[in-house]
Amino acid sequence: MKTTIRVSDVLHTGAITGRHTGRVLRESVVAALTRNPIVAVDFAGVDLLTQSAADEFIGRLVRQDADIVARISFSNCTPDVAGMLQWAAEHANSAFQGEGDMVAA
Amino acid sequence: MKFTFPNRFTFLEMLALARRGQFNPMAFRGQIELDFSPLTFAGPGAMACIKALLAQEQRTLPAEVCFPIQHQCQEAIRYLTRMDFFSADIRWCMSPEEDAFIRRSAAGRFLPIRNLHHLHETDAASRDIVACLDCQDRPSAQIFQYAASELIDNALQHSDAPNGAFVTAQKYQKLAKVHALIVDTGIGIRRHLQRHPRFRNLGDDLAAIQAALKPFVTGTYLANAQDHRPEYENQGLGLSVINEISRRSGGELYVWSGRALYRSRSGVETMPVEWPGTVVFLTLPIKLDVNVTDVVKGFDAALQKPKIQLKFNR
Repeated sequence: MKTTIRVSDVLHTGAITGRHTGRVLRESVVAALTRNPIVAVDFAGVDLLTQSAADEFIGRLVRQDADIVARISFSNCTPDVAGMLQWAAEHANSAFQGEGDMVAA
Repeated sequence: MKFTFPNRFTFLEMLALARRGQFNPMAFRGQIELDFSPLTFAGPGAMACIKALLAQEQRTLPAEVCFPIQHQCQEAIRYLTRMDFFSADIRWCMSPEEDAFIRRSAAGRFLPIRNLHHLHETDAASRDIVACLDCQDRPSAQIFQYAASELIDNALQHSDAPNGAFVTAQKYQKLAKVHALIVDTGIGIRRHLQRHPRFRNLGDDLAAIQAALKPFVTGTYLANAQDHRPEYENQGLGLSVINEISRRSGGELYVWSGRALYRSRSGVETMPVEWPGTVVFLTLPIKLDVNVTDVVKGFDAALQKPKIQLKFNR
């Protein structure tokens, strides 16, 4: 069975900024995934998603369990919101794997 | 300790004083006397810095902050009252006027100095910054909100400051610019990054700021107790994205942490005096034409492994 989470219903805002907001969204999705095999996340009305919020939402999910992302679908994303989500998911482990420049001591 | 404000006291003036050794944040200790008498103009960013220093001292050694009442500085003091500089969380031993502690309307030109403690306050604070800046252009407003929320999150998540972060912003209509400042008196960038095993040997504050401006550098680290593999890290993009936004838009970013100062137009320098924590000052044009998603995607290049270019002779 599939369920849909409307982001605007969860967060009551069209601008998703800050790690706290990203965490609230992630926890809503994780809770829904415990009850449903597939969760659709509807971003209608959302026109701003910061990198921190995207990392806290989808990046952290990927770091915890990359397979779980296959059970989530995204709809009504603006190109910028979709781009930020995609980037955060693809690069979830970039710092983790130490791909950034090393700093001279 | 007595601090006499200069005629003009903005963040840049404060930096200039610090460079000349005439302003030392570490000297704000014990009984503090503030002399506002020369002051005719004060920027909210500089006053937020002073307030952060006073709040830090109040916490470690509760002492009163005194200032003489002088007729010639009444106008400046009224302005500081509107900035919410004289808040009740600092023990003032003298009130500049009877209604000094009553917050007054900031008339939409600046965000009165706000003290934040928790990450859940970031969203509302960044929205309030955009609202008070009265930005008519939606894409520009989004970038201001983006930048404010990332910088506030950084301070609240990484500074470990018992007093949280102090935030303010101001719109300069005639200059077509917006200023935002986030200040804390926490552990500073170097000690934050050194929490991560990769950066444990980080040399000094200069190296720390240079590292923090690079993508995928973070001090957030929580090792798994069993195999010591890191199981939680941020992506480490916050400051590097803001730096790139300021660069692309013709703005300017200042980061002062410990004895190091970064200025986006001139690079990193050593300061003669130390800031106990981190100050971030961002100035952006009112009208912005930067796509933040493009900025973030631009960091893909940082992930590419260096290509070895072999030179072949015929």
